Formats: sequence, C-alpha cells, structure tokens
Amino acid sequence: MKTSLLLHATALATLSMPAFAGTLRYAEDQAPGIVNPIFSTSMPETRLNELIFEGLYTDNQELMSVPCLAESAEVSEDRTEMLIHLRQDVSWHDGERFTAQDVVFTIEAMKDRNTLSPELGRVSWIKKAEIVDDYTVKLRFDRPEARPEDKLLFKILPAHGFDGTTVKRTDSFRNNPIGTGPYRLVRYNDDNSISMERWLDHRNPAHLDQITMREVSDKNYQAKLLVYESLESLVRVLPRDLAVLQNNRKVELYPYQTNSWWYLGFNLNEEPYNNIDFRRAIAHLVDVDTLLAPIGTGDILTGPYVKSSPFYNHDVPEWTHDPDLAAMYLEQAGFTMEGDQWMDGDEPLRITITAHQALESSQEVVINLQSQLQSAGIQVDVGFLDEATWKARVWRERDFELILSQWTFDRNEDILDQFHKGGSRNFTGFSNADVDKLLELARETTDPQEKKTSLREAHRIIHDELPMVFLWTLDSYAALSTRVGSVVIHPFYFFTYVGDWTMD
Amino acid sequence: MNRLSVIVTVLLLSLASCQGQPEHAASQKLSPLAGSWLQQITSSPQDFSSLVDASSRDGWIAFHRNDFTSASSSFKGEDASTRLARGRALWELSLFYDDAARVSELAWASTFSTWKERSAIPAGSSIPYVAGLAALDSGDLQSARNWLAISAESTNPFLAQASLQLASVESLEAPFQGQDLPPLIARVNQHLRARSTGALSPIMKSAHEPLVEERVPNEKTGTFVVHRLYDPMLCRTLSMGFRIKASMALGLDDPLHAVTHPTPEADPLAALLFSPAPNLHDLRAEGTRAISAPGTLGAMSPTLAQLGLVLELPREDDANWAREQLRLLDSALDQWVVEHKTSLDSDGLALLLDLKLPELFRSRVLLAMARRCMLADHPRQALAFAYLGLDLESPRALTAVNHPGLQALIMEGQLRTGHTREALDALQILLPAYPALTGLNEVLGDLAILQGLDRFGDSKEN
Repeated sequence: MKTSLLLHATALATLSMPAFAGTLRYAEDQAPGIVNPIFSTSMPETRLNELIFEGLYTDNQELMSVPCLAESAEVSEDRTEMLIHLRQDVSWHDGERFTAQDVVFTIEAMKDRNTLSPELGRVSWIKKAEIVDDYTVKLRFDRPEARPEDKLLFKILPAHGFDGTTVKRTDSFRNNPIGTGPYRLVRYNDDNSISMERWLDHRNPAHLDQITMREVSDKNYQAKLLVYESLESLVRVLPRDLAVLQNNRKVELYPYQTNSWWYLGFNLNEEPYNNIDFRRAIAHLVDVDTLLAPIGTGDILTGPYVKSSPFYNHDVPEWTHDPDLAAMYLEQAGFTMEGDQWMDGDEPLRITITAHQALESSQEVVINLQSQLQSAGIQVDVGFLDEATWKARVWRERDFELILSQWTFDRNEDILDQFHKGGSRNFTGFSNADVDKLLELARETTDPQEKKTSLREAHRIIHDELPMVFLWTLDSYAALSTRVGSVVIHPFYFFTYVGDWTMD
Repeated sequence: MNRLSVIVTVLLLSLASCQGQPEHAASQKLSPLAGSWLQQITSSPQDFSSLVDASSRDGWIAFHRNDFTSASSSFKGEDASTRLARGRALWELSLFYDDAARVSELAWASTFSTWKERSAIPAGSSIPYVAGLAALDSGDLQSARNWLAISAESTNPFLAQASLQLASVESLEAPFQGQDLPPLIARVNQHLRARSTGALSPIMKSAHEPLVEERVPNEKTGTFVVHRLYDPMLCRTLSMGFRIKASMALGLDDPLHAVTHPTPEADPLAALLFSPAPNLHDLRAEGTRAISAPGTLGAMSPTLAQLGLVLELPREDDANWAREQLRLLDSALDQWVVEHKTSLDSDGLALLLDLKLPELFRSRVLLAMARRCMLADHPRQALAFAYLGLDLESPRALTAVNHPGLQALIMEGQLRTGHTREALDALQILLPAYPALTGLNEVLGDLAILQGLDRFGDSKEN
C-alpha cells in the first residue's frame, strides 16, 4: 500500500511538472546505477551513456561504422596498425579540449586489470595505444584486423577526470560524469531523475534543449504518463499496452530492439542447482505460457536466442509443462514427497528466487512462479534487489540460487560472455567444453554458415544442459509523443541519433 | 480455427439467414468514404451476404484474414464473381512474392559479394554458381559472368557444365535445350516453364530445401563445413507463376486490368471487398495509373486526395512525411466511423467492428503506399507506412489487418537501410505461412552474420 501511495505521489508530482519547450522527458524503470560507460551493465545505463559520451566511431543510420571523435584513419598494409586522426573541434563538457591522451587513457583504463571493467573485451584486441601527437593516435593490434573501425565504438573517457588508469566504480566521476556527447549531465534530482541539457559547444548541437530521464518503476504508470503528456518517451512499452497506445492519436510507436530474452538462471555452483535432474524438474514445473500471459504477447524460447536469430535452433523442443515428469526428476535427484510437500532429507525443499526490482513486470512473474512451484510442493522464497545490491550479489559475489532476469543483445547476439567458462557475464557458472569450443569457433570463423551451424549446436547443448530455463522474448516498441519529430532509434543504443530529433 | 474466424463464420451464417432488409438512416454528412465498399456493406449487409453466398464463404473468410492460398483454392466456381475473387487471391500471392523477390535479389547479391570480400570462398564450392545464377536472374549480366567464370573451373563436371551453359546466355527466358542436362540446369528449366505456364507444383515441392548441399573442408580446423545454398530464382518464379494463374482465373492476360475493370456479369463488390480502393471509380482510375507498378494499386486513389492526403511523394525519403499522411488518414477514418456508426443497424455495426473494417482498410491503403514509396526508392517512408499499418494487438501474427505484404515491405525496408538483422524479424513472422521463404531466411542470416563479423557483440541486462 505504501509503495502504491508513493507511486501515486510520484505520478502526481510528474503530472504537475511544467513541460519546458524543447524538453524531452523519457522514462526508465530504474535510474542508472552508475554513469560511467566502462562499468555499464544495464540498458538504462547504456541509453544514458549514449547521450553523454561518444566513441571514436559510431553507427550511422545504416548501421555502418563512421567517424565520430575520429576524423580519419589509415590502416597499415598488413592491417595490424591503425593511425587515427582525431577531430580538433571537440571539447569535454567541462571545457577541456579532447585530445589523443583521452583515447589512450580510455584504452589503458579498460585494459587495467585493477579496473575490473566488464567491458575489457572491447579493447583486449588492441596490443598497444600510443599518442603520436595531440590529435593523432596509433593503435597496434594483436593480429590483422579487416575492419578495426567496427570495434572502436566504445565510449571515450576524459583522462583529466581520473587519477590514473585504475578506475573504480566509486570514483567521484560517477557523480560528475564528463563526456563529449550532445548532452551534458547537469543535475541528479531528489526523485531519482537526471537532468541533461544540450551541450552548446558540441560541433553539431542537438535540437532539443533538455532531456530528463525520469525513474518510473511502475510500467502501468509509464504508459499513463505518456498519454497524459507528462512524458514524451517510453523506451519500452509493455506488450499489453501496445494496442492502447497505438489507438492514441497523440502517441507514435516505433519498433525497437527485439534481441532480448528472459530467463530463470540457476546457480550451478550451489546444491541442488548443480544437479541436472533438479533443473529438469524445475523446467517441467514452470508453465511458461501462464507466466507470460499477464505481460502480453511474445515468443516462447528454447535457448539463448530469439526466434528470428540466424543462430536459433528451431529443432530444439520446448520443455513441456509436465508435473509428472518433474516429479520423476525430483525423485531421481534424491528428494522425497511427503503429503503434498517435497522434502530435502528431513526438511521441506525450499528455494529462493531473486529478481531485479527494475525488471519490467518481474514482481508479477515471480509471484506467479512462486505460486506454480508451491502448488507442486516446493517452498519458494522471493527477493527483489535494487540495482546496487543486484550488482554486488549477482555480478560480483554470485550469491543467489535462482535469478529471474533478462539479457538484451545487439545484432551480433554474441553469447560467449554468458555461456563460456571464462565469460564475464556467466553468473550461473555454466561450464561445458563443447560449448566453449563452439563459441570460440563462432567468434573466429569468417564463414557465416560455419558460425550458424556452431551456434545452433551450442543452442542445443545449452538447452539440454539447462543452466537456465529460457522463457520468452517480448514484442518491443518505444513510444513517443507525436510532438517529437525526426525520430530515428538505434536498435540497441536507442539515443544514437537524438541530435536530429525535434519537438513542436 | 482462430477466434476471428469463428466470429466471422458466425456472423456470416447469421447474415445468410437474415430475413428482410434492415432499415438504416442515411448519413447526415457525406464523407468521401460515403460511396466506399466499407459504407456499402455496413449499410447494406445483405449486399455482403449475397456476394459471400454466391461465391464462397470459406474463400472470403480466408481472403479477409489474408490467407490467399486457402482463399484461391476455396473460390472454385466459374461464375464471374467467383473467378474475380479467385483471380484477386492469386494476384495477391503474385504481388507478395514480387515483394519477396526484390528482397531476394538484393539479399543474394549482397551476401555473396560480402562473403567474397570478407572471407575466402572455398575452392570447389558451388557458391560462385549460385551467385552467378542469382545475378543472371536479376539481370546483372556482368556479375553473373564474373561468378560463372569461377564455377566453370570447378572440378565437379556437373557444376562446370551448368556454369558454362548459364554463361552462354544473356538472360533467363527460354528453357535450355538438349538431352542429359545437368541437374542444376534442369532445375532452371523447371523455373522457366513455371514462369510461363504457372505450373508451380514441381517448384513448390522442394521450395524449402537447399538447391545445393556441400561439404567444404575447413583448413584451419581440419573439419568440414556443410554449406546449404538455396535457390535464388524461387521468389521471382512464384510471383510470375501466380500471375499466370491469376490471369487464367480472370480470363485476361492482364490481371490488373481484369481486377480494376470487372465485367458487367461480376458483382462489383467482388472487385472491391477488402481492397484499398474505396469504390469502382477509384479502382478504374488506379488501374490506369498502376500499370507499371500493380502493387501500388490504392496508393493514389482520388478518394485519398479528397480525404486530404498529399499524393505527390516528397523529394526526400522522410519518414515524418509518412507519419503526417497517416495522421490525415486516421483523422478522416475516425471521422467517418463516428459519423457512420450511428446510422448502422446491429448487423452493420457487427460487420464494421468484428471484421475490423476501418483498421483493415487503413492497413491496405498503407500497404499500397508503402509499396509505392519502396518502388520510388524511399525505403524509410515505406518502412514507416508498413509499420504503421500493423495491428499491434498481435504484432507477430498475420491477421486480417496484418497483411503479409506489410512484413515483406518491412523486411525490404530494413534490408535496404542497412538493418539486415531487423529484416529477419519480419521474415520470421512470414515463415510459418510461407515456407518457400526458408532459403531467403538462411541467406539473409548469412548476410547479417557477415556484416557483423568485425564487431564485438554487446549485451546488457534488462
């Protein structure tokens, strides 16, 4: 009730805020935990970074890599070196000039083992970065690179914003981020919103004066706020709201990002989750259709890709909802049934499901899941973690039993980080030598059909080994007020072309 | 049978048993849509009932939900109205595969050229042959010769012979002559015959299977890679074959003319029902205009101009323009619905709402506009129109509103604007109903992979 009142209060406060001309207000389920691209792990952070920071290269609207902070480049004949000439008309949001030192600093900071950046892989292919002069950088690669610019999309940080190349999540930069992007962060507000204003010294200033990221954790309110014209943009609309928003003449829907899937992940380093029979039992107990129904429409999945992916293996069957089979597997795993309760020795079988509180509709899903498993005789505790606790317990300490979460991928759909033994996002502790080989081969090969075959096989093995119960992908659309014009949305980073957006 | 079909069936059954003429008030204000088929069938449901009963109820149910394969086989009769309905269904299939064929040409050409650029094509592979065949079929003679010169050197005698035969012609029109033709050339002949006779069965039988399956050694790993290469001629053949079938059903060489100028023996409603042309006048005007681009029929009808839409395309490919046009169309349709609804009896109202007629008409118009933009090389506008035409109550399904052509145009628009991976999303929706697109799905997948080879994948939570 308290939460509900708070939400009402937030909504009313938002409703009463005047809309400044040229201010775009967009909603996130939860405010980004940190504004530093080398620690970015979530989509809200990624979207905010896109407004504030820039890379040497960026995607144009045809998704080709084009110079951004770079002006031009020459690649050596053997393709192991690249000389990058930087733009000389770029200044940081604090007025300092952008130079080659910033580029080299960023690469070294990400490579610094003590930085503990989850983005380390983005620069690990660069053997050395050197300053040639203030506006020229030389990169040396570990091996020949056909199109190095395609790998130089990571965001550049200001060297003068840090004390050394060991960057910490807790550095003061997180509260005072300095970028070169089209928007400058001006204020963290008491209601967890973040205000940004157009960076007037940008070489190509954006049209919209201000952008405000508002934290609105209740998806139902997000849609209402847009309809009431108290927001101009929702980055992701719940499928169940699509038809309603489509019929609202003040709202336009834009397709956005489909390579996202929900999953229920097991901690394979813990008992009984390290037992395949137990995992199979859970997979057969989960009624995925029933879990999905309240959220809206989507595709039910059997593996770590969405169905339109070239890597999706359409021959892999779904885990059927089959309580009898589940019971058989629970017995095989050593559990016994007493009355209507499964027992783990003398104690009732009890598990804990944890979800990120910002995951859209996660509470609904977890409560339904709890009900499904409890009715099958398994006691279930549930927990919802805020951003900081989630990062600490799931990302760093791997302190969980089952997690409900969602991964979102760019168009490469590279799952190596999630399923390779050494992957930086492999929370579940999944380890399978065949899968490791297949994922490595898929990264190495330049034969598209070999890559496809390898990853379809990886899909099959991962499905069978069951480190996760794969759930669904949702129909994904962004919604914007019709007052916002010239809208083009990047399929992953969202705000890449925001500089061109206009508002009546 | 889905819910909509049940509703429609019940509705049609009830209409069939209707006795007497329903009374209805005349519209107080004449909207440009007053003379449209939408107004006609909702104001006079018996007109609808008569047409449905006289041709095929199942056919019209299938036609309404855009299942043109079922529709064409359900319209069995030889009376003028039923033939017209059958011809329209076959014509829709031809147009759909024509959309798919444009994607197909672009996909095959881009995939093999990117493959050659990014990754050595293994010696002895059939890739150059398939690439050459695709180029020849799309009229790119120079590329065809370049590719076929490579495959003509193959140590596989059948592949070499087939390559030489293809290289000896300047276009694919007449079937190759001679005994003991290589299997690949025999397959080309099947296509060419289907294109001129409409005999699609031999082609459809193996439509979703690879044209060539080969094991190619991977020198790095010492293993073999299996390449499955699909038939690049398929979509064009299906488009041309269904066109021939439509012509046969309509009894005229030019199905467009037959559809837009129905004979006096046919019920005019058979030409108009569920079409983007509001009335016969529009249909005839459009028929004259759309000769060179039949899929755009309905994009520039005089009624749309009366509704306030701007029929001239702007010079720039500006998606905002498309959105503005849609607002005008929506506003006019909303107004018509509000004005017209009050004058309807319960049967007319049920038809309007249960068959989603305003939404259906809107999506048909947007489909035609999207095609027009695409053919005018304005893929961003085409994409906007196609997306805006979708009913988001079930965005991943083909429904009465979600015409398969919308997804085909989304696929083409995404591909032409560099969003190959996103093109696959649209294709995935089409595949269950159109398994012949399996090869296109695979080749687009290859292209998406090739385009991302040098990128680090990015993944984030939530």
